[in-house]
Amino acid sequence: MSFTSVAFLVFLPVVWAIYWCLRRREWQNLLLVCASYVFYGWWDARFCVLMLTSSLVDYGLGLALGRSAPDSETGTGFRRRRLLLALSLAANLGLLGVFKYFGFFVDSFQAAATLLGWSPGALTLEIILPVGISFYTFQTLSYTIDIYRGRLQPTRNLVDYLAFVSFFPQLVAGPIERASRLLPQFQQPRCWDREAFGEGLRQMLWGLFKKVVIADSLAGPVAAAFASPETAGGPRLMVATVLFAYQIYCDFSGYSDIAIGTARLFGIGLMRNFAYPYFSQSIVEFWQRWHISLSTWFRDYVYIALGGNRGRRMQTWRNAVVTFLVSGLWHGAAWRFVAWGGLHGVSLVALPRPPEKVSIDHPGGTRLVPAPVVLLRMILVFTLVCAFWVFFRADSLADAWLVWKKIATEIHVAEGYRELVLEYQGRGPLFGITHLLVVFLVIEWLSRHKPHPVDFPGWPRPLRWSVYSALAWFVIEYGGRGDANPFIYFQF
Amino acid sequence: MILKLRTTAEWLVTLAGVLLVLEACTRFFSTVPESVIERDEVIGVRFERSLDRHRYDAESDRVVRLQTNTQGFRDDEWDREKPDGVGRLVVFGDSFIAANALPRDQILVSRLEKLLNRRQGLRWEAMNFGVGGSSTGQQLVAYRKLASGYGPDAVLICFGTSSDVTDNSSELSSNPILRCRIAGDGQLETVGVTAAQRRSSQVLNRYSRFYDWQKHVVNRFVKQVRRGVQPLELRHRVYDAASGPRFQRAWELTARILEQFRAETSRDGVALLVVSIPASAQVYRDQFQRLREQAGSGSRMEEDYPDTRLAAVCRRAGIPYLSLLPVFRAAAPDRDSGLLSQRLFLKGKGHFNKTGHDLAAGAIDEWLARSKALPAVGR
Repeated sequence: MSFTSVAFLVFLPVVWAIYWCLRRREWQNLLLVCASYVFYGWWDARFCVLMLTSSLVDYGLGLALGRSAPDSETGTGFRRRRLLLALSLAANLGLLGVFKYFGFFVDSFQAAATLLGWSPGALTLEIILPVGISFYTFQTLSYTIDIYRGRLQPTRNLVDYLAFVSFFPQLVAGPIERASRLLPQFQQPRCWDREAFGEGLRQMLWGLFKKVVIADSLAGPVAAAFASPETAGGPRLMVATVLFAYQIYCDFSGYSDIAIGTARLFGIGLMRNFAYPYFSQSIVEFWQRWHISLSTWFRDYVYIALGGNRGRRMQTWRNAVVTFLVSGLWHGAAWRFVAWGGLHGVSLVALPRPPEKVSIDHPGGTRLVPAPVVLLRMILVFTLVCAFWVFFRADSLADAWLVWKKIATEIHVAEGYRELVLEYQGRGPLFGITHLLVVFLVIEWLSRHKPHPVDFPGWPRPLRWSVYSALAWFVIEYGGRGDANPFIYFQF
Repeated sequence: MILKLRTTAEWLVTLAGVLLVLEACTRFFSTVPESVIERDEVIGVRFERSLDRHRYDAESDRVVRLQTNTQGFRDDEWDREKPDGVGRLVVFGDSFIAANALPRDQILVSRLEKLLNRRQGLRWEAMNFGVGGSSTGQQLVAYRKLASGYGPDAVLICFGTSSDVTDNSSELSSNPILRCRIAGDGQLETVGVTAAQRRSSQVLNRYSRFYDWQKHVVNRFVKQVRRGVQPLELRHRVYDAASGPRFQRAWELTARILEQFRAETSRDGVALLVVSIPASAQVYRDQFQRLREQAGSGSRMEEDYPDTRLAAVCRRAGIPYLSLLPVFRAAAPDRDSGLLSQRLFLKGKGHFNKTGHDLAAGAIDEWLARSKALPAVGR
């Protein structure tokens, strides 16, 4: 069930109303588990079996890990704990390997074998990719790893645990929550809070606006340009790349806002996932602001596990690049995603960082008009990020390379720009999109010190409600135009 | 007390602000076309009278000039006095005949008039009484109250197989339109749009674009929810030969209305003719297959069922009848809505496109000439 579907529009109020009628947290958790499985099973009921299996395996392993406390004096228990962790890793990564990467590995193996002059028999299996598998497997993995590291006590309550894994607002596309943060919330009673409810609704509204109005409007022109990069001119591909940067940002951060807002309706707080990433002044800062829940997951469970920055500089660099390569592969089972991750990793270690540390709450500084050097850094980082997005969006490595080549070689061709200007003047799709993006950019810049822009403390009620109604109007109007696209991150 | 008043005043200002913002958003950014329909307690629905407006039509994706006469129909001004040597053909129909998506000279009625007048020695005026959402019951009332006053020689009912049976029945459609029903004593009676409904909707329609927009949005939402519960739209049950008692009653009502129409036109010495307007699903197999899948097991979906049924009704009432289905299927031999070269409907599934209107007009003209169904007037 998608957040932008009519089914969800009916599902959410029904679940919400029953939830707050139930006073006991045990019943509330049970309801959330049932609702989450209905939400997930809406795509395909078989997916629920997979999620339940993954959850039960980690629940059992978590309990076993909790029982086998290591004895540092006798040295016993360490081996058993390592074995249990290995089992958890094998189960979760095995699931991902089969359902997400099987085709990729087989294709890559066959391509490599063909290069070496050996032609293995064709092996193809039609395996459907369960929605959100990468998200919930990472969430359950963090549970067992944290228990292994002694940072978390396993829960004995299966319903609490299932609620933590399957909580529907963040089930299919994050934020990827840590058990140490989310699980205790299911173990505490929740109180109805009118303020939190209003805040949740506002954040949902902003998320819907970003997804339905901006991301879905950008999807058409982006898809048209990337569908045939050989026929599209360099300037058009350049514009399409910038549009894609905003499409994926509004799509994914929109999803996160809806998820965080929805969770707040149930009295649950989820972590912030985006913090105005396109106002970053370095690639490092970009990753502190983009998909925060995933980048911190990779930092804590891959980068630090590889040694982090404890070794020599070369080892630190290697650890960073490897982490980004794995992160690229997490995004999709294709070499272009690996290349995208690699490019980010290399630029992260190779490019200089600004001397001053930027606060997470003040991207681009506190001034209304940024200093020229800050502006220049933001533009450079955005350009670089856009260039890397080409690998993310193109249909293949060859297409991505072609897009880069065409942009580089045709950037000076006036004809390409003339075509775009004519389309703008003729009030084609570019006309509305340009205006929409300019307005969006200004709103984001002015609200960058807040978690989201739809928060107007001190504004008189008529003004606040007028803004809410205008946003809601746009969501309904654009949502009904019939060009809705599924959330991009569902495929991961 | 003062605090209470202040809070109430603040909420009233908020409400006014919200409504103003919504109205502004609709006026500046909405792609939902503004309504040009008037509800009328005499003849049900018609277009706004003496309209002359350029209007964006999403189905054809273009701006169309919409002009109506003083009676609120897409035609030239009609003269009460029929000129000598001229035959008048009144054409009734729904949105297929009103054809908001096309310029006036491209729609069925104008094309038919041209074709009829090509024949030597004959001069016909085809009067377009088509309006979106009209039922056969409304057409009967419009004949009595309005069309008969123009001294027609023939009346042609263009019966939309995709929606007219449901539109005729208040059990199957809740659209606020004028329709007929069979009263307790077995007589046909008219159920109209109430004066209050007419007045409130007329004022809001005229002054608020947002009012119009929200109707459109609510309808769309209700449709989507219904589709979630029952994938097959109710109106498509018209193809189900086992569709149950509500459709049987709708067919009986349709038959009664047509019989009444026939009786009243005969009394006036006017010829009555019926043509069935095919739906795209009847022409393109892929679309009908989808409907079949949506209907599920337990239904007997037949593409030709409404035409067969209507033919039987007309035969029983003694009304000359033409089904346009064979002509449309012959013009789309592959019966695949994906083939652009065989497209007869807008976007392959909506109302007729220009080719569809031409085809329908040609087929009706040929049928009229062949069957001599039109009275010999105007010589």
